[in-house]
Amino acid sequence: MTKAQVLANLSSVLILGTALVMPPVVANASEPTEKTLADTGVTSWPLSLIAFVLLALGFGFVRFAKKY
Amino acid sequence: MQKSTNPSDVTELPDGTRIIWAPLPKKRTGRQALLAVGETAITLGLILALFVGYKAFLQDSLVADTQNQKAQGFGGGADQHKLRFPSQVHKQAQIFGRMYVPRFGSKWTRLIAEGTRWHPVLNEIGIGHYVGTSMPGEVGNFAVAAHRGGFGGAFKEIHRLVAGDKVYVETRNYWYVYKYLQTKIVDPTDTSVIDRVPLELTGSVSGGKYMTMTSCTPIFVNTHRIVVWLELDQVIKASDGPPRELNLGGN
Repeated sequence: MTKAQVLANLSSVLILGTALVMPPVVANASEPTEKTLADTGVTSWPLSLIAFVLLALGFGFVRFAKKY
Repeated sequence: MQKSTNPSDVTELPDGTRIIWAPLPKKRTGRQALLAVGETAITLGLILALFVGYKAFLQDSLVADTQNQKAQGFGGGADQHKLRFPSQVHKQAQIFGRMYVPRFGSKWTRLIAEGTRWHPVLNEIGIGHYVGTSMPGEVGNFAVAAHRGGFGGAFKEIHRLVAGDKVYVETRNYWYVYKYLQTKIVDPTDTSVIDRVPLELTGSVSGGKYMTMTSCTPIFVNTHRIVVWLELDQVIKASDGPPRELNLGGN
């Protein structure tokens, strides 16, 4: 397995792992019960983080590939 | 010393001419794969970033305008029958009031409907009334919720409410004017804040007529809830017209 393939596999695992670990972007909208107050916000930080990771990895890979 | 040549790379023509093919450049598959992965990641990252930006800002703004226009145009003329009496509200999404908060902007207004489901109450209408809590003007706690970020973010500016601020609730027969009391950040599980007598509210007493506004905080993170308590200050008959300080021009 070449270095490039190893890097590609690692990046895939990282991206997939990030997506699985992070909570969903839009939480379930359900009628509040006596247990919780109403959920009243779109949680966008997980997607923002994933986007940032993808961009950072992407630019890193392209830079690495062009350099070597 | 003559360099050896691979026979497969040599073609001999009938006249004896030998063509020696130069070796093709070595394929750098690893580099190409890395480039492909990188470019794909950049593309996906950009798409995600644009989607997040759209949801957080563009869609939020568009929905806010729609909710505001709907609230301004609702209940006038032939639509008056759609604004239900609070005592006749029994189902989710039945609209029974309209809220004005000068602190949120002179043109800011939203409809109030029963229930706090995202669809169709919080996402489309704006403000939802916690089922089972008091209605406007009643003894107890009139508790409402609205989005902080996304889907119009009706309570986006809730953290700016301070002492001296007033919130106006219009129903079919009355205007209820509530004055600001206190703000607190709590866990989502702290439902005691919408109790009839919210004990965490300083000076709360049995028989008080309170209003509680709740929303998510921090914005776009939503791990906690921001709670604002208010107290009934004034009741005005709808037939007397809207409170002068709202400058609604007799609507």
